[in-house]
Amino acid sequence: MTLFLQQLMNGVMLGSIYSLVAIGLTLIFGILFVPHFALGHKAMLAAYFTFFLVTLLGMNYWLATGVSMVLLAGIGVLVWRLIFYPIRNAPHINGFISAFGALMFLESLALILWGATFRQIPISYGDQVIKILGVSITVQRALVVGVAVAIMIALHFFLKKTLLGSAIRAVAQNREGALLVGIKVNRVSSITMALGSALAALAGSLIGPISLVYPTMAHSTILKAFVVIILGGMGSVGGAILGGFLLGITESLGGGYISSDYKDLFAFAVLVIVLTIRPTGIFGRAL
Amino acid sequence: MRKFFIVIIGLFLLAGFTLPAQAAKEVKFGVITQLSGGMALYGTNVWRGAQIGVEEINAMGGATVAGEKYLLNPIVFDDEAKPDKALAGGKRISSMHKVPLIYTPASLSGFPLLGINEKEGFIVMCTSQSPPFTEKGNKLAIRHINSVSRTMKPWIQFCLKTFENRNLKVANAGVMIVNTELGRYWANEFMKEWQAVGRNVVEKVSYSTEETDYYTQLTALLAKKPELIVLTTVAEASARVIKQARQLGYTGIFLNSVAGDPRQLNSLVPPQQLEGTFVEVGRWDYREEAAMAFIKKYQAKHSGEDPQFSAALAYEGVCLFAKALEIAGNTTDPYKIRAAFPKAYPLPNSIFLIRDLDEKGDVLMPVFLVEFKGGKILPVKD
Repeated sequence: MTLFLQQLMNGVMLGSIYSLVAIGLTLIFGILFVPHFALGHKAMLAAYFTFFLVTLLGMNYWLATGVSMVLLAGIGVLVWRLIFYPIRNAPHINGFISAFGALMFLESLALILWGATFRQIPISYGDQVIKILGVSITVQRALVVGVAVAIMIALHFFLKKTLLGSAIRAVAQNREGALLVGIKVNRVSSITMALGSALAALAGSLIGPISLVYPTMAHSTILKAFVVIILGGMGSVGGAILGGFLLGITESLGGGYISSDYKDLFAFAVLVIVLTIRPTGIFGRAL
Repeated sequence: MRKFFIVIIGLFLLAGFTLPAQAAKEVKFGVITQLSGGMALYGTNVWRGAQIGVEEINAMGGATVAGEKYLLNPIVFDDEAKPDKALAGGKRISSMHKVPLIYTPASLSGFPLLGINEKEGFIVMCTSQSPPFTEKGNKLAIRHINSVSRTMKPWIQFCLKTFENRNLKVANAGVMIVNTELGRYWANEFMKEWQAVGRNVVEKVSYSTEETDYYTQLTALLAKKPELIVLTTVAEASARVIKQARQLGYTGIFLNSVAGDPRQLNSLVPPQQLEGTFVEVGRWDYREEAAMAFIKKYQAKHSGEDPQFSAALAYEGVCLFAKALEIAGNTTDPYKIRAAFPKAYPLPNSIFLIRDLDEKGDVLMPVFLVEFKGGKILPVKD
């Protein structure tokens, strides 16, 4: 039983990181119709920012995470204005290629600026372990899950209860309709980009102390996040959350009980099964 | 002032016209390495190490081949840790530059090159530890590191003796298999020899260095209560495994092989978690005079950064190549250069003491163990 709970907890922790990046992806896809491949690399950039803020300026880790989120939100707007805005009326493939370009640019930039050396974000509570019902979890891991869930709830209320949130949903549902009722679509787009980037920044900063910080740290996360949004339904925030946890737990239980050789296989098998039954994803609507 | 500029411009022109006339003969060779992608740190070290070798040889006027001085000119290619890119790079370098040798630091780039090197006519000098590298009967393959099948048995015996001398009871091993070609070979070879001496492998799990979270694999592994966890990967991934295993309550020993730089591990993992970790090392990690001399050169060039062992290996590879050229008295025929190679070993002031290149292309390179104790890295000298 302890073993099962431990693997379940491992999966929840994995799932919360997948979900965070996936929410960002799905929000941006909903508004811009761009599969934003570079989002994982924004998480990487944020992890570097947090690392330098903590080590060079001696800033508190959580404050540094907040600052990174703000910085990345700014970079998100910049990326939107410089890359996606000029091609907003071009065929979708242009956005697709541009997103790839942004990914390569960010990765190479990190490599040039900071080199390939691995870095570690120091945290004051270090490797303290909490034990509940025989399950071991470090403080940072518990916080990752806690913060991720809190942010998801906050995001839910933001999207459902605020005017801006409604505007974002309106643009995602019907761009022309939103324009007709006077919603400033470009403003909503840039805000969505900022929001998505900030969520990715949070994911990067949260995983930083657990993993290490290096230019390619986001490769597997971004791939999984794409699986998650396809699984959950493109453009659906609820789907991204559910898909993230589903994927994390499947990987963890499959890897733990069947074979770790096929850990990634389980993730993709779930994707195939879900798409066979519901081609639009769990919460997706027909495009 | 005007005169001054005219003189300066004149000097430039003069230099421009006279330099090509004075340029010494050169011999090109390829370096296919990972300058970007997941192995960028390792691969960049290789390129920097090779450059130090080239500069050192060229500073002495180059290699003396059949009475003439030849400057070394390395042609670098970034394979992004992708086999197809490595192959494309090999084809391009050999057709454009007619190089007699390509140095490459990994199985993922070495193996694709073995498919074309005899036809295109270049030696593949590679630090792949996978046994098949020299088992394909390729006449132009040189393994520039010890071969797993040649060293596993004596190494396990050495490890067991080390554990015995420290009163450590080690019968049950859990093996973490990294999902690379070498990782699998190494793990299989280890499990075979480990069981041959009457010990058990209680569980094996696999993982990727790209992953950041190994809780799933470690939870499964630790459920079988191993006394020893065997790892076969680079320092960064090893650091994550060690930290996460300790967080999950593991108190046993770690045994780490294959490119696990102990210094890097020491900088990434707190000392109390590293206690009871053993890492396979080459002579490089004992930091003797030759190693220190190289490290100083590297640090002077790269703002104090510490080189990885892959840099030092590439450096020695270049020195060996230059020496083989001199012995062969030829800079173009890969077969003549390959035939001269065994006489180039061991290098005077060798860092690794690589020697005994055989017909197949295998060398002998002594391996040792270091242990982590109280935050220090101590050589095992039993």
